[in-house]
Amino acid sequence: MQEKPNTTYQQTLLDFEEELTPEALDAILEKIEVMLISIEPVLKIRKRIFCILVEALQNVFNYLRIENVEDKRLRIVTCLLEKSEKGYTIKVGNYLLFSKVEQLREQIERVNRYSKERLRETYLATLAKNELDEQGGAGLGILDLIRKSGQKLRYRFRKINEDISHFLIQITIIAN
Amino acid sequence: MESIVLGKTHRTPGVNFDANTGILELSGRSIPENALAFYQPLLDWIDEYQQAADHKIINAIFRLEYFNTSSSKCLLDLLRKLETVHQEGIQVNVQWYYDTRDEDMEEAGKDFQDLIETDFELIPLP
Repeated sequence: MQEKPNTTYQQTLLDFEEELTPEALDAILEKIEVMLISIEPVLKIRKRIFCILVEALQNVFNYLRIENVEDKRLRIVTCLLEKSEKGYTIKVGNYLLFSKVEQLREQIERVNRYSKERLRETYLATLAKNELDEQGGAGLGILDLIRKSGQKLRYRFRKINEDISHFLIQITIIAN
Repeated sequence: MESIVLGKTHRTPGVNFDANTGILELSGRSIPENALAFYQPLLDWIDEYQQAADHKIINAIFRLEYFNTSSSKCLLDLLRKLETVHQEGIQVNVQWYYDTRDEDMEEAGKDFQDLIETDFELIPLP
């Protein structure tokens, strides 16, 4: 894990790229939590950042388990946390099957259009009806990220080859 | 019937399900990747507790800091089980504590309050 602290307008608080193993995930979350206590005084914002990072990284982790991805190169996850005057930006990137791209794109585009009220209604309806999948996911990840951040998700897919794409999601947390 | 007492960890909440008093308490954080593996024994415990004829009241106390979406589904399953227990004649009171500085946890309590039909009290902690 690498950290690139600086004191300019846009401060990078966390920047890592590594294979996402259970041990790595534990270490990352522990480090993030300790760091947040020292940099963000407002409890609500601190918890929001941590929850969003947990959800985003666990979404990737669960995806890798569900798809049984064993190639270490495809288990590489990138995570960036930046602070600016407006708040925080989280970027999480991972590889995924090209066949999953359209479904994910459609899901994000659909949920991005929801009002705050519709987001809550959909979240509750999904929570009320969904069974946990065998890996523990509840199908609520994207809804939760948008609901917690209060901002639309930004994302990018980059095609690597016929089978694999790279997915980057960006979540903004307004801290003012 | 035995109580369940589990200490808090970095990933899972503290649990104190007291078979003698009917007080069921969860506290701390709940962010395991596979929440069902953690919560299934708690769900089973409530089934067993319900069948013990001399218990007539359950006070469920939630003092959670935060939880992931995998846990949110399990928390709803747990609350629904309490709802069923209530419908079958056992008095059930749910208390959801939240830090007044933490509107997300207040909102989460309201979410669950809207999804189940039993006494559900939101209690702000100053």
